Amino acid sequence: MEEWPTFSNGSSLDCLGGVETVGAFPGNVCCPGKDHVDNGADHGKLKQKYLFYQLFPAYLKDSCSMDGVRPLPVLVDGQQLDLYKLFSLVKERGGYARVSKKGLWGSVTKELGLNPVVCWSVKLVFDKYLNDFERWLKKTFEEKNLKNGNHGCDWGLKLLPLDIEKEFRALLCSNLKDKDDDRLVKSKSIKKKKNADLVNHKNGNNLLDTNDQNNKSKDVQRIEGDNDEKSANGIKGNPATLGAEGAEKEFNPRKRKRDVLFGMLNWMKHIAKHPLDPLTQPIPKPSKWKEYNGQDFFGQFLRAREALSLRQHEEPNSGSSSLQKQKMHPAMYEDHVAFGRPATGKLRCSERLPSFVKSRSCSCCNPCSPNGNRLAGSHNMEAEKCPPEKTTETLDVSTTKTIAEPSGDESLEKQVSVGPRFQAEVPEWTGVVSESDSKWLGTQVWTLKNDTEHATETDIGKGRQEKCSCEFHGSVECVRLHIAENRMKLKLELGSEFYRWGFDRMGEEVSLQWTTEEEKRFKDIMKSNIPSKNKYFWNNPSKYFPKKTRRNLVSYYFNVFLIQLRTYQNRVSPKSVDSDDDEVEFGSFSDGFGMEAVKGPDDDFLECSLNKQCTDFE
Amino acid sequence: MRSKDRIAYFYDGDVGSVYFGAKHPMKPHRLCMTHHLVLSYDLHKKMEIYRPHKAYPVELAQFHSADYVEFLNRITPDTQHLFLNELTKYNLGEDCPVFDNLFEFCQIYAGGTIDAARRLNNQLCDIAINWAGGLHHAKKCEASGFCYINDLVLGILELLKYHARVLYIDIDVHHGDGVEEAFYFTDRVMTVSFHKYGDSFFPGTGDAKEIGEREGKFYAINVPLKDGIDDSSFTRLFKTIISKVVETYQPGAIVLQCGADSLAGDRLGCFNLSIDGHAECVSFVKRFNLPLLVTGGGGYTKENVARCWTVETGVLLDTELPNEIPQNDYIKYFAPEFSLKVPNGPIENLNSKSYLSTIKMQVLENLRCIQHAPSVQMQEVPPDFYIPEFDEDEQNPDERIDQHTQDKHIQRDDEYYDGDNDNDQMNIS
Repeated sequence: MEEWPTFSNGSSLDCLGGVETVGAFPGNVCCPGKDHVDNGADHGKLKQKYLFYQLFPAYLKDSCSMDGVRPLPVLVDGQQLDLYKLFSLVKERGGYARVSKKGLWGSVTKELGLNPVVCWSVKLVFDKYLNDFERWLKKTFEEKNLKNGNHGCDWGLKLLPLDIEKEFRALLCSNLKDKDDDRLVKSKSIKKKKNADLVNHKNGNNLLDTNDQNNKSKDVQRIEGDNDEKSANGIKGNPATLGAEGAEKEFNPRKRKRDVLFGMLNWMKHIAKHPLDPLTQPIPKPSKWKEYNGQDFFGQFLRAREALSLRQHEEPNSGSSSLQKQKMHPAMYEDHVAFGRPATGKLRCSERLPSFVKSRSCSCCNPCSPNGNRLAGSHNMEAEKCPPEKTTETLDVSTTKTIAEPSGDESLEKQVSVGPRFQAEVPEWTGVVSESDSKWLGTQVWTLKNDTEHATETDIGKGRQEKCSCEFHGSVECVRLHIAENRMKLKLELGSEFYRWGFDRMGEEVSLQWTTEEEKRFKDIMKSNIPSKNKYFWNNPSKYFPKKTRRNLVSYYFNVFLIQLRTYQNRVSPKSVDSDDDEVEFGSFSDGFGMEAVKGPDDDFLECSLNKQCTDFE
Repeated sequence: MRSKDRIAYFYDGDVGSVYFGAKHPMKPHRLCMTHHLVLSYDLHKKMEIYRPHKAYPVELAQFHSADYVEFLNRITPDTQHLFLNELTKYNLGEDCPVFDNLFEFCQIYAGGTIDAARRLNNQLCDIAINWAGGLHHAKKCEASGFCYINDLVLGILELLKYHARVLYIDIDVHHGDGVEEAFYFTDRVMTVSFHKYGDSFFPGTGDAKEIGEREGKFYAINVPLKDGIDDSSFTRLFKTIISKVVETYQPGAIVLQCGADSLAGDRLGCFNLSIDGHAECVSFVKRFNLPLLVTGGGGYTKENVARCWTVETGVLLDTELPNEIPQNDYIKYFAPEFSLKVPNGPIENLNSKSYLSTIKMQVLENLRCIQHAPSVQMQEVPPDFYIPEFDEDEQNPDERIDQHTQDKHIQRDDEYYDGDNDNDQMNIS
């Protein structure tokens, strides 16, 4: 146990250690820490690699059955990725969270021998494959321990020599340590919120003194300890405490739709689906819950629940009563142990929350911030007005809320960031108009014609003419003619501004500057069904079109390619076109339906858009 | 009869030619399409069109931190791999990619909003439009949600040089967090945002409980809504709240962010507004006859964005546009109907009547705090008190407030403030 002091704050680690002592490997089981891994040097690494590639297929087999297939090998930038190398590189740098936080993905990518540009893909690969794998590994170990060293479980572990397993665990532990550090940051920041009583109670006991607690639970109450460990592990995987701050950059600021919700939903779904998971441990009876408070992570769950119910009922002082009133699903505590849950889902939601931790700790670590963080600031102000008990209550709610939210349907609550790095400097209003730079008011490029012309207002804003003198109204020629007419008219009206506004670069006319061959090449690239290639193309278009500027390409894309595609779509499925959704657009190129739909007229794709069938203009 | 509003419309031909990258929902090309459609409808014959200056870094740094602006200026797609730490620090990558001419793009749209504000300040126009602007998520020191430079904050800061109070209204489906955050502590800007809130919808802020802090307490208003809100409930709520806000707050100018992602069928949005409903909000704000700065914002179904902002340009010009889109180079984008109005979908409105009325009550309740607060505040900050008179002097009284509002204003002055005013003046003299 020589490494304990380093981890004295690490509850989850302690738990792991505790379990080990109880479990199959007495003695030399505590984490040797990073040093060991480093010293292990080549030999150790080889062994690890060997182990990794033994374990990984087992994991895939396991997770594929519930999670959909994850293809191997993993290709990034057209090269096969050495997952083990990635895994160990990230671990060397302190784990996923730390790498993300410190922006080390670039160096990881470089060391993998890849172009740093693809660092986000590498990160994604890690996220998709290895984070989950790591979790699975941990889970497997724990489960094995629970079964008292029964190596006969079918997780592909029975072949493993003990010492290699230990080393692997060392890898995991170094990661755990980081997480615990992060957690420490969190508890620090929470403390700063003057959250004296309750939070100290909670964090103090749970996060800082787990050593004692663990020993106690181990020695004194075996069953409870078992349970304790369970919930502790549950917490470890719990969104709120897993300190992956890097995740803020990953998930929080995403504006695009993507699967922001799915992680959460999957998590919820699993709990709903497996209420009676055989691995569920007995939970103390509700009557005992109150005394359970604050002793371990189970208590923390209770607090979270309490916070939720407080928030729902908005009566902050009925904490204990609402505690008993509300029922909580047993599976809530067991989520970590439960099998068959899509672990990525959990990962998603688990990584979203700690961002709050980050933003808080950040603003209060910021030395130049006189306000500290917002919670501190605002609640201090409130504290002046409110009776003290009430303040503590609200504080408790607000801090535990972050823990509680992911289990509810409610959205995550984000606070407005406060401090000199966030607010604009607004001068006080003096009543005197300050100088506004009148030099830069924009250059007038279009003047109003004088009032006499205003009289002809009937001309302004008229729509499409219903009648025209064309032989076949609405035919392609007719439409083309009128487009050209309007274009001409505009050109005459606008003069040079026509060019400055880029009207000469609008519409399918752009294609006149392209050769047929170039157009075909462009189309082929766009249609290629490898999404990354498409992205890659835009990263480096000059490789394909050395003579075209990026601007030309973009202009061609929007003015010709998309319009042609749209024309095609208009005919195939006029009622459900969404030319703006290029995910679907290109997706449909790549998936079966779209491919077939487009493949047919593939060769005469261009002709299609230009031929005479466009009669659907009415 | 009031078509005499002078409209300044800002556009730069380069703004639509940048590309955020494959599969990125933000497509500046929509600005080309909008401009093209506006001109196809001959709307340019009723307004002045300006090319904005490219805002200088120092102008951008009036709100943003200098290091951030400097970094935006320096970074290019080719060099970004050298600055991974900074990219993370400034939240670039993924949602806010670094692309060619990024900084120029920012300079143009920010320049447009700043110029628009200056033209309003100098009373060179009554309404200024910059569809390229409205990037309301950008933060002081970082990019966020496709936004790099917060032109709205810069525009408002410019307006604050001439106006004691500026009202910011945001009908983008996303919360206007950047603007709210920038003015969270001040009562000189009131931010009102109508947005989708909940289900981890970006950006995650915008609960009704966020009301501002310190002097800014009660000067940030959030109207969190759920999926599928339709025209009638949205416009009713909008009108109730905004009329109360204007009546209470008496802004000197209004900035309206018209994000078109609140329209039905938007790729990222989840509301069910028709273009008419959206435009009705614009028209309602226009009727206050206050200096008005209108910007774009979100909007990720290009052709609907073009339709929407064209219709709204028409609304601001008091011109009703015929439904059939004139033949133009982009006509094929507007298939299959080739019309301006697109029907809103059969989406369920998850906003129950009771929910909406709860929100409304809450907002109005907070507004009431403002009405009462000044008795305290006005004494502490006397300048605030002189503004109404000043504003009236500054502006052409014919144009400013319609008689009804003005009457109310005068009456209220008598009722509540006269005594305080006297005190104040005595104190000063």
